[in-house]
Amino acid sequence: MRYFPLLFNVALSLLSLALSSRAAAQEASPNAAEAARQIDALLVADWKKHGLKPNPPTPDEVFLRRVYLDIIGRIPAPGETQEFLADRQPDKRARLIDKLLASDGYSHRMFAFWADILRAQTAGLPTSGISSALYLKYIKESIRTNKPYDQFVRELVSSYGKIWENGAVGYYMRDRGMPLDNMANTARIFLGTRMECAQCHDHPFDKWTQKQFYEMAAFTYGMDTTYTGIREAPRAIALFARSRKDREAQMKSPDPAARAQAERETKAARWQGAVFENLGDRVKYVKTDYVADRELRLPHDYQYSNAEPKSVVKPAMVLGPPAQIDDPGALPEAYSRWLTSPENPRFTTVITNRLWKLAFGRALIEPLDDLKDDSEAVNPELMKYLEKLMVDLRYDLKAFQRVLYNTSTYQASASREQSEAGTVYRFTGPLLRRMTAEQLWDSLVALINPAPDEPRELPGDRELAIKVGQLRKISDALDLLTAQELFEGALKAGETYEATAARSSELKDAYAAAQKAKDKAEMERLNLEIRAQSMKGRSAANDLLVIPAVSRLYTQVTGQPAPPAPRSTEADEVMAMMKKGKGKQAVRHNYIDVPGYDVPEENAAEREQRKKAQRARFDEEARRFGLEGNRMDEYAKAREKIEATWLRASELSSPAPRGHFLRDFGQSDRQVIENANDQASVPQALVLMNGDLLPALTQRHSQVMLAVEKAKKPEEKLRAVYLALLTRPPTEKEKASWEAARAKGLDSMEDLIFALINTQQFLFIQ
Amino acid sequence: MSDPLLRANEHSRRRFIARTASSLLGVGLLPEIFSPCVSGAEVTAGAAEAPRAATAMNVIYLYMGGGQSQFETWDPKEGVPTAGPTKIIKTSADGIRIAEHLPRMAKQMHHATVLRSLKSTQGAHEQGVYYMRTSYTLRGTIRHPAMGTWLSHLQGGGNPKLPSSVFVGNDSNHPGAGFLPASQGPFFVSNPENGIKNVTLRQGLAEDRFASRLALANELDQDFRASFPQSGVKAYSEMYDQAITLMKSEDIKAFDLTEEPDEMRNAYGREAFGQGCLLARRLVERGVRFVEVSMGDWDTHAANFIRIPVLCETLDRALSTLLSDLHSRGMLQKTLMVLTTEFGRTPNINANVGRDHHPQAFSAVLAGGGVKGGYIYGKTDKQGYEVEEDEIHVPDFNATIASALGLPLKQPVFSTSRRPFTVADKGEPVLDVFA
Repeated sequence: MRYFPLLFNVALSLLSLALSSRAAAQEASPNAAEAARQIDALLVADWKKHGLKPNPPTPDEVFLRRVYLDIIGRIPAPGETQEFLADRQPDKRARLIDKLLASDGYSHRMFAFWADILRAQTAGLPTSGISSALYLKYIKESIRTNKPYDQFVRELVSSYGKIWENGAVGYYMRDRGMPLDNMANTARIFLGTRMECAQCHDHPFDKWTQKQFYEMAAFTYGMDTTYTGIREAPRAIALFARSRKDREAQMKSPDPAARAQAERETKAARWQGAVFENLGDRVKYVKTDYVADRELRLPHDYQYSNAEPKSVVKPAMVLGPPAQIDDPGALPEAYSRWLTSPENPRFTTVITNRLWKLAFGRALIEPLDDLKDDSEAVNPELMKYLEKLMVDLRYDLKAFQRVLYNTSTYQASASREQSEAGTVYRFTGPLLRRMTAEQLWDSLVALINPAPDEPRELPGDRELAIKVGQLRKISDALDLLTAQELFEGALKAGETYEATAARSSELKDAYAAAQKAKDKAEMERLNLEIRAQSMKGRSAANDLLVIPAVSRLYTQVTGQPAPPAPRSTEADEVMAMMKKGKGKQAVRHNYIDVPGYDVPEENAAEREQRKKAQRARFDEEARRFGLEGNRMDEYAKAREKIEATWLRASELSSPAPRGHFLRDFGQSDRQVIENANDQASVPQALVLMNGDLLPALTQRHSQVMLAVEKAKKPEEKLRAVYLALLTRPPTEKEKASWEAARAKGLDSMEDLIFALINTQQFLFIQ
Repeated sequence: MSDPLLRANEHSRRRFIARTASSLLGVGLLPEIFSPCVSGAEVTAGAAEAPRAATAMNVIYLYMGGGQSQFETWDPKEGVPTAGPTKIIKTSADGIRIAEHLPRMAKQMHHATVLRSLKSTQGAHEQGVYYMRTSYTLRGTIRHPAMGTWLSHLQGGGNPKLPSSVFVGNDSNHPGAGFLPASQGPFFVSNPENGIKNVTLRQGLAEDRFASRLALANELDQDFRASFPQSGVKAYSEMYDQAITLMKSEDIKAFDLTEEPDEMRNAYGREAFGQGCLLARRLVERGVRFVEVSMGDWDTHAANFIRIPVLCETLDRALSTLLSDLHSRGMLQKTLMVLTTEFGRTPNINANVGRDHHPQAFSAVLAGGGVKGGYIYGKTDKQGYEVEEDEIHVPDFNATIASALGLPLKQPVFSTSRRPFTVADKGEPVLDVFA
């Protein structure tokens, strides 16, 4: 367990995930019921005014399916359904809501919600997926711990530092090099205000001027996402510039040795750019910096008379209360406090509407992210009450959702009639909604995988921890180098660059000759040697700068002298390993271990322990399904595959690759804010009818088939399938239909499961 | 141009086509807010300038991902250090000479126009590709549509049972439909050999059993549908009908390359790109109006002179066969073949015997669809550093393609945030390339 402290540090530990999530049981809020009654009363008053009647209450099974999908993003498993339907206590709905909000499934559900808003992608940030992975972890962790929303937003918009110190810095990295776009996105997602038009000219349909846009952007313009990977590089480059004069003077020296040295150094100095680039290559963009004195200027073609083109813009807030700037050196802080203040009404309006929409299918103000001064909610008193509630609950999103789900209105039947987008809907109950892509996928996963929600180590978790450890080590080590050391090391490394360039040039000529002679073997040999030459330069920079820096880091961390550094891997060795496809390993093992940084690969004992624990879990499940003896082995074998394959949407790549089931059903590409759609399309019908899904659902050890197996008589089997897929027993009419179909030759459960997943009632949330 | 498919701006026809064509393989029914009623207003707003009469009905767009070296392909140099070891060969067009790595294509140059004066403002891949495909720079706040989507939005047309545009390749950065409805975006095919997923019954499932299962599903769903008589629900019933129609349709065979004789498949080359070009021809033949086929790996920072001949072998076979095949089928006249890339490569050969990114001057090729054959437009300097004559900026290049299709260049189309955009931003078409 040597890597344990690291895992805590970097929030990678599934152990810690499992431990603390159990502990974080939600205390029931005594006010939830009262607040829910208030909301219902405000709705009733509104219906009366408009001569509307409320929708009838839902039967338990409809409520059950809906609330599972809304809170934890999947349909209930047969056991969960039976437990709820058998419960005779009057407060069982409230208790179920509490249970679901406190469960692991909630995080899976809300990840899709936030990932769509934040455009959080597995490959959304630079540097080989690591920054992205840590940003996604941060989002998931914030959801899991139910971080107050205002705090979450403050962290996103004001954090800077390295990604492994604080995953929130990914918020700026997501729009790397596009700070103005980032500001427009912030205004839209947190303030429901569309300012992107004003980025280039005064807003044509709203009040924003381009100058105002820039004034807002000036608050966070200092957030710099272009980190080169080497902290002191700018100052080292300045030393190069300064030393040029010395060399030029030395060139005129009467001493030939001095002249030769100056000449050599002049040539070497030319490679400074390449040296720094190669050095920083693996650790660039891992940091969001705050550069307090970075000035934002109006564009050169600024066309309005209220300011000069290219003039410096002073930060100013253009909506809500004026911002309190205590420390001009910490503008993002001031900005984040202003943004998330309850005094800034749109901040509360937006999140309140988002959660209302999540429960009821539509916001009280639509679109919720294009608020204007005259935007009015369909039920203004209710809007006002909800906003106050959100503030009173201190932006505790779970507590707020608890209230919504406890209202009689949420627990009423879905509206029968369609309410077209753009028309007024007075919320006599929730709207009928098609499941989101994630809800549908996760429901299918739950029909196959009996434990789809629990946190556990995913394939790739350890690998990620190893990579993060490596990057942290190099990055922290490089930070220890002074400008002078960087300058001297780079100058020395530059000599190798110069020498290998000269050699490469010879090789290039040889290559041209070989090409003329059509000597393929010689061409390939030369090509390899040319690539090896370029490795030599990198290798020199590594030996001269990175390896000593890592030793220094070791001493700093342990207080002990560093063990001897491993010999730098020679270029030809790296080439040889590259040929075997193991080039990265050759580089990775090039540094000494530093305590607190290096995460070992899983060893045999750990692996065995993990497998054992897994098997124990599977056996426990098998017993629950009533399996014994041989069947337990078979179950474990099938279950292992299921665990590796049928993961919840939030555990797959974000977004899923194009062509994946999730994308066919309209999962957002997460390139654009909230870009999911719920429209019907032919590929959806095709995959449900002809795809790989049905065999997975009907394999012997899927959750649904085990439930069927437990049922003995045909009508019990029918009931089991209905409970599993539609969360209710079949009606008499449906029993008759199935009997008739059976008589006509549809005699297997596969026929029935096919039929039910291809119904619309399976896809829609009533 | 009497072909009715080429006449745009007929409100009801477009509405009809948008509803049928895109719902089949695209991503669904058009939401009402996007229905072409909205663009009806745009038509009047932007009708100030009538578009050029179309000379092309279809486009096959070949994308060379990574930045194709112009020196080793369409704009070779000689007698200068930047030329590298590449030799120059004559072609079937008088006065046009190209690099030795494209010998088959050399025999087809009488069909093509080479543009040697492209300029981009973007020097990084993601930004460069985006700019080339959309004419707009990459932003964090919006996605712009690529040409196939513009075509589908502004004109529609084509075979209503097939998607209006298809993308063949593995590029995950394609902007898709941009801010336009997903249903107008391209249908993505990652492997041309696999065609469309899930259009055949699962093995061992008899057709009558399949039909009985669907009948049962239908029966078991009646109460639900009666309880919720809503268009979103109904859309699904319709979609199932369409899916089954599609499973039975002949049109779907457009995606089935096994229908082609082996000689034809070999002639295109068995690599994914060659088969993609063959698929493009089959799709265009059956009324798909825009097909993009992408080919990667052109990012030759190292070993440029080793890798390019290998890449060109694939390209040369596919491209030359595509042109001769289109020509012999009489399709070349109405089909514009476009070959382009995000930027070219540097004249200077680097220490790894490679060439780096060079957006200042690079080449593209057009053929068919009303474009002159055996023609060169634009010129770079002797060493290939800069454009010397007839600069073509990326939006101009896209305006040229749009112009061949008769798309209205000035007609604004509004994003969901009501920002106006046009098909090739403010690009001016290079009219000189048209015959």
